[in-house]
Amino acid sequence: MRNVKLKFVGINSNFRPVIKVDGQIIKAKKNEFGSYEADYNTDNDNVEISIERNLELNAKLWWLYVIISFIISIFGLFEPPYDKRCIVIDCKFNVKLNDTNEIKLKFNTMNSQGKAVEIETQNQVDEIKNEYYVDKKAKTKRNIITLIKILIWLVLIIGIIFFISEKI
Amino acid sequence: MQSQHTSSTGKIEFQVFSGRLGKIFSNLSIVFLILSFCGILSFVTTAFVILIGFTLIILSIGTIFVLIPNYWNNLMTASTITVKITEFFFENFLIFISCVILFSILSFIFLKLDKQEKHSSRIILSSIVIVITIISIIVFASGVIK
Repeated sequence: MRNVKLKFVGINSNFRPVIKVDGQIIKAKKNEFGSYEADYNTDNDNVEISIERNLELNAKLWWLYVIISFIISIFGLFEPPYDKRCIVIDCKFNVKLNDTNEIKLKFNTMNSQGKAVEIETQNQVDEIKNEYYVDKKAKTKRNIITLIKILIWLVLIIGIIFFISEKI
Repeated sequence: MQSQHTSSTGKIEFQVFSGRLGKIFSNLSIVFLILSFCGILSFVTTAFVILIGFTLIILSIGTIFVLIPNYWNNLMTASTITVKITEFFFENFLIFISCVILFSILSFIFLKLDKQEKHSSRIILSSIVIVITIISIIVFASGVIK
């Protein structure tokens, strides 16, 4: 059984990636210095580390979540906005394991393009993917939602104005 | 492995959604707290009426003046309407305050369900709102405000 010590630097409340080791989502704990740490045990000679960022609008039931949020928040009036930039992370590393395995992943500032993570380790690493990119599908969804909201609001305002004009 | 992976992703997606719901309920609880105090503080009601009046002007891009020719006069003589609105808010104080408690508790639960992000400030805010609400109910029930 081999133990892999993982350390993640640069994660904050605005940036919460999903970290998977060999396809399993791992939970990292915050340490006293503000970075996150996780341990992973495996019998394999190498591990595959993948990092993703799940945007709200990429969820399976995103349309249902959007409708529920819109109704509960009184036609979107008290709803927090959806991520404007729609930047996602796509990282995949294949790490060959030694006797001691310490892997430090430093997250770069989110940009629409560029390298997402700097990896520091004594192990041999094969970088398969390592990038930030704009999720155009999510951005399109966001624009459509905004447009629909504006249309609904226009209909509502016209309705209210006619209602008031009828009353007065 | 594949199904386990899928369900985990679904769980994360739901947690993120519950965080959103928590924020919405937190916002609603604050709005209803203000509404419940509108009856007690009549000047807030006046400000509220004027705010809605101006919002309608902005949102209708001025067309409201065409649809309602004496709209401005009506808005300026809002004091009479304000009395009625103040009465409405005062009579429905308990309904508004119940909504505040309900939304604060819901906000608290949903924010706690989101394990992807810590919402410490929102949770503290919801707790403060609940405390203010309980104090308001005690003051209202003791008959200080009539």
